[in-house]
Amino acid sequence: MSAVVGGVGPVVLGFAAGHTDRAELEHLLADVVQRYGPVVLACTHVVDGRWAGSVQLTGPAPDAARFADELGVAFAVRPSSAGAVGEHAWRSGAEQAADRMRSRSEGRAVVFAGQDRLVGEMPVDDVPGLSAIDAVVGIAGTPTAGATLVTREFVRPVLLAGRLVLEVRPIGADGAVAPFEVPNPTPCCADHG
Amino acid sequence: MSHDHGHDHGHDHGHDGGHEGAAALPAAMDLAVAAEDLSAAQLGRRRFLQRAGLLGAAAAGASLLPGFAGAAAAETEDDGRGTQGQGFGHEQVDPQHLLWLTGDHHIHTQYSPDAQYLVSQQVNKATQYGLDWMVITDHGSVGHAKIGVEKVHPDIVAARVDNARTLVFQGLEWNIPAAEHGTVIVAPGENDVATLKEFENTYDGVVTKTTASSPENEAKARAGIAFLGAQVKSKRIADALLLANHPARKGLDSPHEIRGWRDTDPSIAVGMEGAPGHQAAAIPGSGHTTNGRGYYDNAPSAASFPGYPKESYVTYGGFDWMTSTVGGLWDSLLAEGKNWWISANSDSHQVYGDTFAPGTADIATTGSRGAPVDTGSPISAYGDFWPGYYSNTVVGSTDFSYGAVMAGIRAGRMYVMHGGLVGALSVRLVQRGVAPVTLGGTLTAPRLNNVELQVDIALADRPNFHGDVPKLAKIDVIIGQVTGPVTNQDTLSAPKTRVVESFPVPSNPAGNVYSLRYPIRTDGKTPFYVRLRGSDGNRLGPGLGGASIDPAGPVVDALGNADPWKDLWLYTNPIFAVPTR
Repeated sequence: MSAVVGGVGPVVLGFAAGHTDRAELEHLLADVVQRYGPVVLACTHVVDGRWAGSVQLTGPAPDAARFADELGVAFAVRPSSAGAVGEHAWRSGAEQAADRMRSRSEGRAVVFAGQDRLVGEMPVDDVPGLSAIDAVVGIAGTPTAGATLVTREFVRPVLLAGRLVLEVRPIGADGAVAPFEVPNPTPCCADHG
Repeated sequence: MSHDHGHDHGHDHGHDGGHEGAAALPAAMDLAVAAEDLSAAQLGRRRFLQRAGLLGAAAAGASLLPGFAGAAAAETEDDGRGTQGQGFGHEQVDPQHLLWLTGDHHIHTQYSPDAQYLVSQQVNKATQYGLDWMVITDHGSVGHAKIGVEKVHPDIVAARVDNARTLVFQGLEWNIPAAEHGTVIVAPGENDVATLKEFENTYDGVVTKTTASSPENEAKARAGIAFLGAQVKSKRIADALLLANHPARKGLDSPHEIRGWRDTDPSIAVGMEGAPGHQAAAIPGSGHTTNGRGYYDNAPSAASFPGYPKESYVTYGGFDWMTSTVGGLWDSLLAEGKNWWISANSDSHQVYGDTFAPGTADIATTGSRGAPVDTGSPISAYGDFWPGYYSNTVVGSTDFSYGAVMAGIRAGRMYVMHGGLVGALSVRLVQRGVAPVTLGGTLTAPRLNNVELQVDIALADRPNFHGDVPKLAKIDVIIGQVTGPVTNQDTLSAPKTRVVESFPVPSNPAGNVYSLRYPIRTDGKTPFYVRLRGSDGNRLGPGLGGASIDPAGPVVDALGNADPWKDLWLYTNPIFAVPTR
């Protein structure tokens, strides 16, 4: 029996393989985008303490079983009547990642439309017009109106209650803001070995 | 988990050299040292203490009658240990009968893979910058457990001899299984190194490969705390403490883990850093442009507690979100009536503007990076301060000894400040007919009637180590209801805590002492706690809970542009008040 794929809304894939390291999951995510793209949106999620990924495709869904087999992951497609395939332990992660992407309730966007235009510095107010980001929001009361966004060429907006939101924090002088997520955060300690 | 530590307050100095015979008080407090023999800094400190009413009985009692303070402590101290649920202390110590000793429990040396200084350099600097006590806390690791933990010891013993007026503890920066780092402090004694070594080999997250977030690893952390308690109980070591370091930095210390540590043994796990170290990390300049103050520049990981908001990953006026948020996580613990205290430390690894670079020895095989090398050029990319230079944890101690400092930390008789914001501070909660209490204590009375908060602050009148004379602009009185144990161990807010009143501090009060007498309105029967916060007034904004909770609190720190000298804060630990009827 083959699953029914299609129906309402775009095709979303969720996948998981139990990653605790985000960089490793992002490598896998890049692989997925390359194989099955172009994508509208690619996200990372934390599901039960493990990283999972999701992508929203522009085209039809690939064959689920083959996808799971080729990449060694659990894989879920939405909308679909079928559950995830692949490694049992990670099926829930794949399903939840796909569901969160589809409902736009949670996720951290690694690929999104207009991303390549968000380089250098620009007025915060220009960001929604240039990209898929719906809003720029300052954490902890950081004002954003009229502020300059220092992108550092590393912009990772998040899905929040149906919108793609770039959370920002203050950087430097003169009320400039930067994405909350720093490209190269300070490691806790050089070597614990 | 209740047990008797059997502190021997008056006689802990002799261990490992450096403190033979009578206690060598800090020079400023030692009235046997004439004023003309004090340095300008020491003389200034003596005058602060005198103006705040904190020098006299304490120093005399400790230096002339060593038995007095210890006996008083033994009689009146509960140290907050006891039941698993509520942990009110019952000590009744007047601040004027204490020595307020300045310290730092989080300092690294060449025995850490990411630090560089000799123990002697750190202790000499700490002494120069006014510390009375300090803890050497190199990172736990396989190499450190095998070599470093023993190799550092003779350096510490030598530093004690060379700095007779500085208490130098050997500790550990523990990789808490499933969580962040924590400071482990052990009392000096013949088994201190062996105990630390066994602890590190058995319970360090890196050594035992248990840093990942899991219920099993969380249990290992609690077992480590129980181990420390057992070592004290069996008198293998005289005392041990744990304080969580940079607790909100990466979202790793979940509320239920913090509660679990504390409840495993409330006499061992007693608190956390209210302000992390690395306070120079976001001073504008080369190498600092994307640094968060305190190196708080991380995003949530898979191991982070999912209930923590993005706001928890950044600092506010240099303080950790758990502490800086009025009605936040710290207050949620206090509202339970738990003894959980805050500290402020340097986490000194590499000092901003210093000229030294790490030595070149192989730490994996030798346990040390070797002696640091003087490059001759200031290195501005470094992000730390010397111990004592910026961050102070001031502990009310019954005498000048290792045991008394540890007992003071356990009792919560502590306030913390940055940049020498005040000279000296005395806080009491009084009600007629019952014994007054100071920080960390619990005022008990059949009913709480006419409770008055009494604060005396000797304002700073000489330059701090940045060359500024800090100006205390205001004192906030923060009060929270004690609502009792929570059922959800991941509770992270206390809705009944807020800033109840804010007092501007006049520029030139009489004698340069600001005295506040604040009557606390109560219904007589609801337990509460009160804590203080002070600011230089430079960066103020509504708190995360809104202006009705905290109208003018600390503001989120900017990446690469957080001058710590222009944003100074002071936080006290709480005083509880509990009706007995």
